[in-house]
Amino acid sequence: MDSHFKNGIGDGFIFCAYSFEPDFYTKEKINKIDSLQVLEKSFIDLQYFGKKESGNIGKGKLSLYPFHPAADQGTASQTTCYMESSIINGVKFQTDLGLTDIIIPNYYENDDLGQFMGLVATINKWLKKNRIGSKRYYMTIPITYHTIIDAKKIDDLLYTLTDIDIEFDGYYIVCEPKLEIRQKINIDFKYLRNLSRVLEVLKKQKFITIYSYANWDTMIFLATCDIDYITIATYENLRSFNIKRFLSSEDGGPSKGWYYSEKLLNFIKAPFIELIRQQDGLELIKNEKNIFSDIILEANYPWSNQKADVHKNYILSIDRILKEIGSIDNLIDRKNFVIRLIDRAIDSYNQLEVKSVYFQDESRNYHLGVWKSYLLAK
Amino acid sequence: MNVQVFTPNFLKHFGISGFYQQEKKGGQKMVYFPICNGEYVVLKHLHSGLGDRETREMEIYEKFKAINGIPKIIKIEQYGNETFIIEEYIEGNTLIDIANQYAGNGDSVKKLIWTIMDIMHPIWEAKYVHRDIKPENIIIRLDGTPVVIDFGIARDLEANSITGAGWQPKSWRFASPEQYQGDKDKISYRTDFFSLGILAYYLFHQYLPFGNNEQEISNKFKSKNESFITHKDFPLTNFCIEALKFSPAERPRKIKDLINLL
Repeated sequence: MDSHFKNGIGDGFIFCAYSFEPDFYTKEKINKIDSLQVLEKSFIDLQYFGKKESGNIGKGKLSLYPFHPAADQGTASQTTCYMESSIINGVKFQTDLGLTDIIIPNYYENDDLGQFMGLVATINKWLKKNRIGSKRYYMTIPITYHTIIDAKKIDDLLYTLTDIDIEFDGYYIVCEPKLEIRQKINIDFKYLRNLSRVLEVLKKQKFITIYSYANWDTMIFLATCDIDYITIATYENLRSFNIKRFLSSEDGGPSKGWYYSEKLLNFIKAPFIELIRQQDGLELIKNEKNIFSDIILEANYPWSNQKADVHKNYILSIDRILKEIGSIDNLIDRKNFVIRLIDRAIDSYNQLEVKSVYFQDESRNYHLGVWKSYLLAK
Repeated sequence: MNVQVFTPNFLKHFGISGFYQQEKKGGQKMVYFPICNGEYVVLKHLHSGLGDRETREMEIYEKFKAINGIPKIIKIEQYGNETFIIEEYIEGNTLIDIANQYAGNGDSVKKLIWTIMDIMHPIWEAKYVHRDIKPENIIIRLDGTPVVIDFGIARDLEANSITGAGWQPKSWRFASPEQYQGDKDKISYRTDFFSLGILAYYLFHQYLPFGNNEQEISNKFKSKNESFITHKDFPLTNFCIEALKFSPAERPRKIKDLINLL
């Protein structure tokens, strides 16, 4: 709330059912701010993703929503009829709250894409008869990793999503990146190419596109496609969207946190900051005009993942760069701009090596060459 | 059977006073050109009666009879054990016979494609797809307006298919990648968009964009290389670029979106 209302970060909010109970939205104030003022710029993601696979996602606050599949302890949630009805109830919940932008919740389908597309078509038919004119509806499309790397499946999916009868105003794209060990973003060409294609084709067909659970690698997708909305979040919280997150416990453990550097286009593990300072390299990583970065780069800053400044540094920086990229209308100019950012980051890494700063694990440059090659080849 | 073996009773029954053109043989039917009750008409004799395809074709003509750009059925009749269809006679030329008149003539090609799309618009909206748009299936009336004929393999997307999975009927010169692949689930109005793109290109250039034979075209589709060369004066380059996307998902979604590219 502070980041948006005090620091001007982002255009609005996306509330996830996992973290916020249903009563949260009907309170008079949310974080001391009038609820109506918050809700008029809010989306709610009801996060139905996991239920079809597992009967035990009574985690977080999901099961507090009476219509949510997580609240159903039996196996009814696996029937098509139940799924349709829970989706419709999820839509009604949002319209009753008075939201203008409705994210239609959806289940993910691990094996049978045909069944998934059938469910999308059924909900589309329902919407055709039941839509409220002043509202915008976005169908959730959860894409599993093994789907996103399969060009044929993606083409089949896009064929259905772009049919002439589609009533949705847009799509809310949720994609599993499935990360390699010691990497925070996926650098598989197939992943980059196919996810980019999903966004580009939907946008070309005049759908409003929302890329959800985005990491900073979203700038690569934004470089070639005018995505309408991108949802970002504090890095440690949603660093890797994974449907299994809704199925089993995945605790992170304590961390001193990470410094997001817009000059390296990467996160640096907090302990490296001291080394960089010693080697007189802070200017090579420092985020410009970012008060939170200034604070956390001060000597003796008590690094902790719990501190708001650590997260605000990231969201301020990524918000700014995404807006800057998005403001370039010509897509060729836009792509070249992002390539220049990548070149600058490669150069910063090189200069740090001259200063004997060699990063390890996720902090190293494992992604920039792939990004550059990918964009040059587009 | 040919015109020589029609019995007097047959001629009397259908009011035939003579024939204005030699009969033609086509597939499972013979097509005659009689003068019935003073009117030029087309008489189709179906050797095997009304099968699924003919029934569907007749349904389409009946359903869209208000459209002035598809054949009009006058009547369907059983005579003895034989099935006959009497259609209006469309005076004009089959487009394949006069295709060279469109060579390099961008305005004429544009006008023709626009009119065909106008004819097909309500048919596509009603979830039918022609699946075989090509110069042989378009008659140009004497006033220059087109008539789209032969809905024999048209498909009602909301009904059961009459073709099996794995193979799709196609005329190789004007067929889409999904027809080449036999991908039945991807046959839609956007399949016709592709054929119209090929048709527009062919009429102006007098050759095909993706190859000169079935194998070349198939290879081009498999290569996923969508590029083709257009003449600098071709006014429908953008139309073709969008209509000829190999993936149907990338072709215009709305009919008006494609029309706007004209």
